[in-house]
Amino acid sequence: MASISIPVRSQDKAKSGLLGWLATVDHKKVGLMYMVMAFVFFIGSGLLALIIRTQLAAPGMTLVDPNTYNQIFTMHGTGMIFLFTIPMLVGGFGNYFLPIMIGARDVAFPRLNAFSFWITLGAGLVMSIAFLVGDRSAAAWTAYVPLSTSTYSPQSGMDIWLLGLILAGIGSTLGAVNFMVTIFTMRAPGMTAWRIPMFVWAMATTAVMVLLATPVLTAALVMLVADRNFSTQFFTTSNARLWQHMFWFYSHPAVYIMVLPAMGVVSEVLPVFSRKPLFGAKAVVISTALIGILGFTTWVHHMFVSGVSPAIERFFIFTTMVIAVPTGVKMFNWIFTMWGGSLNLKTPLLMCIGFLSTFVIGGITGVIQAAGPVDSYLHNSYWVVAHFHYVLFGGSVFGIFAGLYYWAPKMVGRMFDDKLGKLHFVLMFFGFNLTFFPMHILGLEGMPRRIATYAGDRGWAAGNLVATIGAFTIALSILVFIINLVKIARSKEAAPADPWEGNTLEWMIPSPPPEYNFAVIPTVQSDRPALDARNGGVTPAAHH
Amino acid sequence: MNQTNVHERRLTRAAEEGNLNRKYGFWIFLSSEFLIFAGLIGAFVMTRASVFRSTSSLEEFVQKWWEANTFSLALVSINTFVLLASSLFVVLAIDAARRDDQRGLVRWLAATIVMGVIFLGGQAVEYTLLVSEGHTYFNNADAFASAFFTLTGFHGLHVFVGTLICIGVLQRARKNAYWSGNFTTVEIFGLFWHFVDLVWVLIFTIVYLT
Amino acid sequence: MAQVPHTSTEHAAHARHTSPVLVFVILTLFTLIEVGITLLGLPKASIVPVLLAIALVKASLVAMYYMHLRYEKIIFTLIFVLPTLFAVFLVTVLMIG
Repeated sequence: MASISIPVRSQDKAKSGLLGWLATVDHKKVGLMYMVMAFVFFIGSGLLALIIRTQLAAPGMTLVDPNTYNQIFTMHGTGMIFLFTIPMLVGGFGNYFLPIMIGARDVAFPRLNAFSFWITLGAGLVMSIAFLVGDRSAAAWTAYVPLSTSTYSPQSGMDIWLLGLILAGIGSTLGAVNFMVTIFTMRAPGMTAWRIPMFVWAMATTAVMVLLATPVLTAALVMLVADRNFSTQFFTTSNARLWQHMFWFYSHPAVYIMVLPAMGVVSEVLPVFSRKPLFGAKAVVISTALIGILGFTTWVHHMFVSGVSPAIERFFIFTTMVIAVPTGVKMFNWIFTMWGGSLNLKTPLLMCIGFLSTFVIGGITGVIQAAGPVDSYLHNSYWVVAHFHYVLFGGSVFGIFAGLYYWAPKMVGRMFDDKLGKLHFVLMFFGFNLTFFPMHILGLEGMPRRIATYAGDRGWAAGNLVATIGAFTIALSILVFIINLVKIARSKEAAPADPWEGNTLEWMIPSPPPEYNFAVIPTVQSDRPALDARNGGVTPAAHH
Repeated sequence: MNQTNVHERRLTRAAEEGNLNRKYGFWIFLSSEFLIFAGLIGAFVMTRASVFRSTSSLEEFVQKWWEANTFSLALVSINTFVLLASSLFVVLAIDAARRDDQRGLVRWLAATIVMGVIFLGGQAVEYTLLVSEGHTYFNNADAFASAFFTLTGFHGLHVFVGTLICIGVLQRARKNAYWSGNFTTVEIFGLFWHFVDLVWVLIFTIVYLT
Repeated sequence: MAQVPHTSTEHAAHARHTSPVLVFVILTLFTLIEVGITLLGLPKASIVPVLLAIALVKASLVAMYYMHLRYEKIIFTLIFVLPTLFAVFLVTVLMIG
């Protein structure tokens, strides 16, 4: 038997209307709900960023008072990381495309999957309600002790923030279990390890990192809750570094949790839009796995100025520099994929080029500040703000938009306006560099991060003004994206099943896919099954 | 259901795949749980180290702590033995399920529950002794008690939950729900229980002996 | 079809070679040795590595025989070993950092 056919059970048929969404266990609907949720938090956290940039546009501004300013950047960071980037990439793209790309009808535990979404949404609501009604956390997304202890953050908003983070952690851990099992046991016949799509490899590595990093943060959060409410003394004695260790044991891998899926998206989009196979696919997979493992060995580089022993510091300087190697390997893989290809310069490819050109800067600044002595000068300056935005905006956000444009026709069954998409890209690319490049210089000039305002005689005014103009340019680009979304919703132009001549299984089924994904589970005979099908290869057509 | 029918029972293919998925899923879940315990053990070790490094009054406290500790070492050793024995009973219960030995399954699961309750009772006695010596948690806890009660309490919570799960499995076993072709639930409960045992082996050495 | 008898012999072999009772006896003996070493009152620095090594052996026995890792696919061992490495690394850094 070449393929297995499972009859669709009648109770699996979609319910219509709102209940169909609330009660759904379909991985595609769950994925879309993740994406909508994440996008709402993206807009919210982005608006907070605009308040931050307006406040800093000129010296001595008093748009918000310092305490409110602290609350705003706390929620900006928390929202962007835990409620936008991770839910969008892992929950959204992961849920929607991981099962389809390996030829499965759903994830291994569909109901658990829906539960993960609702608990993540619960975490988001808990945190935003606490934010909207006041009494907010103001201890930054890192919540360093003793600032976050009951002595210095007596407000209940801090506890609510911690609770929200614990919930978000549970949601993403359960989601990761689901993905791992799905990849282990539900691949289509013939999908051997080297035929697994790059995005799925990235998601597998991401899932491992979520699984093994999140629990340590959860333990730390529980300990902090106990400290604040039960009078325990984990973080109130001579033990302040304990929080930093446990927090960064999660939060450094979290950077890769946010970037690896975006890298997976780029590895899918580039070959399709360069009309070439991915250059050195095995090297991409191996470097992904290496990043996944090395990502757990670098966290102390966040703590070089917190007082760690010299031996430990040297070790972590070394590992931090080493992790740049697999990342560099990937950069060359992507560049050589485009090299000599016939580039189809549509929005998804442009977003990928945006990813490559900005992420590489974030990677290089990362190696620079990995050196302990340099780091002690750059630590907590705007240089660091520039660095991680080049990684997480230049990396993750450009990757997210590459994926959104690439897969939008598949998900909604209609084409987007490519001209508007290009406008979006141009505005976002220039806006991004305008915002964050000057921050490198501001940091070198000594501007500390997280300050609510600064004096005029510091010489930071010009850089900050440029950054603010850039931030509003980014906001404008997002507005263009929203207009494009509206146009897609109104568009009558149905997307074909395979508008890009893609490589992976999702392009072999209708747009949007039916609830059961595949009428007949396909048999995979190479790493590019959709290409095989187009070329009249042996893979049978999936539907009709 | 009639016992003699047991060998004619078959699972659907989907149910078999579901069982395999659950087993994979539970292993992966346990790997995540392991890191929670790693975090708590790490916190315990670091707290202990920082208390050792600190002022003389704290050293005095540590001295008192060790005295209290040797006092309860016999109790903790018995508890360790109890938990190891319970793990053996779970293995025997799974073997019984594999052989379609319903009575054996029920018997060994019941024995596991008894062991779980004894362990929790032992822990309650230990906590009472420590509290009577002034090591509190909810009010005015010291650094060492914070780490100790959080770590062992979190483990005790796992034993408690495991015992509850075992009661549920036992109830279903009495209704003949498990047989040689379908005992994944018993196996998964076993994985959880052995994991709790494994963590205790580490806690026993790191917290009580070193 | 060839797989079915193969699997059953494997189970039979396992039942013969490693009785769970034997594993239990070994675990109990190791525990007694650990407690014994502690009660000898030797300097801590010299006994801690020994105790940790014994604990590691005990934990491995539980994982290999009680949790059946020895008889499962290699992937389950990987699922188990990777977090163990990270856990050991974290605790080590916390201890000396």
